[in-house]
Amino acid sequence: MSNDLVNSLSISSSGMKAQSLRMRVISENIANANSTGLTPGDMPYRRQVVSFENELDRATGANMVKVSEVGKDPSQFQRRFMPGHPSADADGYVMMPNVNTLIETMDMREAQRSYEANLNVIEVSRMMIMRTIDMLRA
Amino acid sequence: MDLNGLALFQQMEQKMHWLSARQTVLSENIANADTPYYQARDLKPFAAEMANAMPVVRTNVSHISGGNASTVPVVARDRNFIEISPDGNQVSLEDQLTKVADTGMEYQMLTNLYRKQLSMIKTALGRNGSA
Repeated sequence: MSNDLVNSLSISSSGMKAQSLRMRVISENIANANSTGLTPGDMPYRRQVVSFENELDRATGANMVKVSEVGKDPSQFQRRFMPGHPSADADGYVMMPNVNTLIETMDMREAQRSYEANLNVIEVSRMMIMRTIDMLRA
Repeated sequence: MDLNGLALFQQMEQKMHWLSARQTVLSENIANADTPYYQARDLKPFAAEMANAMPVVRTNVSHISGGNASTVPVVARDRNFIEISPDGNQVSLEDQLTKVADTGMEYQMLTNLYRKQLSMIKTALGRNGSA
């Protein structure tokens, strides 16, 4: 009977795992927000994006979640005028990564919110399991 | 003593089963709160399932018994979703969390009820039951 509840624990933990991988990718993006190339032709850091996927766990029949792939954001690089930079082109422009720190911050908030929601579910499931065990003591 | 012979205990057990199944479905929804095109799901209300689970009454002993309808909770798409995000996801975290809290509270109420009923039976049994 409490198998359902134990399943819900593992589903929530799969959600938390996916969200923490997402946090890792976000922190990579933010850390590399200023990583340019070394020489004029070099490409700067390209922003990474995670995509989630719904995955059926065959053993328990539960709908888990997992990160299907960490892809690259194909959007354009920004160009900044910095003639003194080693990777500046003939006109003095440097290719900057396509990372927008504001977007990353919002993404981070969303990941945090989802993580907390999963944690909340785990707490409630745990409470339900403990209650069931407590019934033995009645 | 088989407590499940008593209709009240039987129903409480069914409801607890339903609640834990619902908790699983809700945790699936919340885990997939950022999965594109994921549709939130929920169980059919317990009252509706109970109505379906009513056994068919036999008016004659030679009739075939309808048997007990299955009491396995039915999972259905949650059509009362609040919003669809741009990536096609239908899960509203607030909504789901309210349901989770609801499920937890009802479960707590049921286990309390179960214990109360049990202690009442023990009282009736006598001193050794120490209610």
